[in-house]
Amino acid sequence: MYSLSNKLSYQEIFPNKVSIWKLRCNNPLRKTFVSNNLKYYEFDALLNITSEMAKYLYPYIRSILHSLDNYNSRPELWNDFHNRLIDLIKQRFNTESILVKKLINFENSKNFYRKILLILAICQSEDGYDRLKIYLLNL
Amino acid sequence: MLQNKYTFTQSSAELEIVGLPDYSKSDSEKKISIISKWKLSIIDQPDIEGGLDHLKLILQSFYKYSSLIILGKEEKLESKLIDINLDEDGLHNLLLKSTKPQVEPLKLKLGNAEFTDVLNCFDQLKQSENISFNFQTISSSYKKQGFNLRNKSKLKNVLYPPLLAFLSISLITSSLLYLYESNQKRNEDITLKSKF
Repeated sequence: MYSLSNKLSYQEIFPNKVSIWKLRCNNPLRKTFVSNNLKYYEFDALLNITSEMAKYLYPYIRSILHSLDNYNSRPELWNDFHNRLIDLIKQRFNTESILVKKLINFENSKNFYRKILLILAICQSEDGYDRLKIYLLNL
Repeated sequence: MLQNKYTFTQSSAELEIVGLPDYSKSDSEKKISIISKWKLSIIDQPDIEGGLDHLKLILQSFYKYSSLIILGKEEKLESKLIDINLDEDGLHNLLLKSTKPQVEPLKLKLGNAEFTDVLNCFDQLKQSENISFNFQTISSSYKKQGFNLRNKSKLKNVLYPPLLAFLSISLITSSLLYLYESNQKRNEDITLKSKF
């Protein structure tokens, strides 16, 4: 993420890795949640980085979605992704929260993760960045 | 006159645009301003082709549907030329209605991967400098999720908390008043007894 932010010339907003990590801690579901006021230019930079990362990761995202589409014949990739994501959430998110408990439920969270991946795949272009931005501003 | 042809590819989907430059707008030879035909090819699916009007409608429907996905409202989207909806398996069903009479509508079942491939092909077309096409009419329509009186669940969510708060306050105050009054009556009785 840091190297990508440098490529996008965000050195002033994110001078080091800690500055990105601090912004990520604005997520109230994290164990290390810190309530800071996210400035608009920081929000915009994070969105741009997300969109750019989705562009780099598109082949992987697509393969996982393809595995989900053909779950009966090729479930391995989707299951690996699903398990890994749940492990990461358990490590980093506040597992006492009911919302996080729902997220780490293997059976019920499938559709939610499908939606996240689909949104990332849709947001991997300039138009996609606009789509994501408008969606988040509408929340 | 030779026609120009550009293809936009993304994994399993390929969009081919054929057309001519508009010399009245002083276009270069390589540019396309007048789209004569287009073809969308998706692996394991029949080819879709048509004219400019069809392309506009399909683009509009895809963008609208993608905005619905992002907003978490994967509802059925119906238009003159194309219907899109999400089935129980999480696949996207497309129903393409032909403008020619006596031609049966074409049913396609796109997986999430194929759907994003097609959408990325359309994004590439939109960003292409070689194709001059009026995209102003084709923009994703995002409806601001404001307060909507027609949405009953939202209305309930808005009305229930103040109503509950009011009820609980009135219950507490009435019970406290009752206690206060009974206490006052007892005090009066005590004073009366003490006088006698």
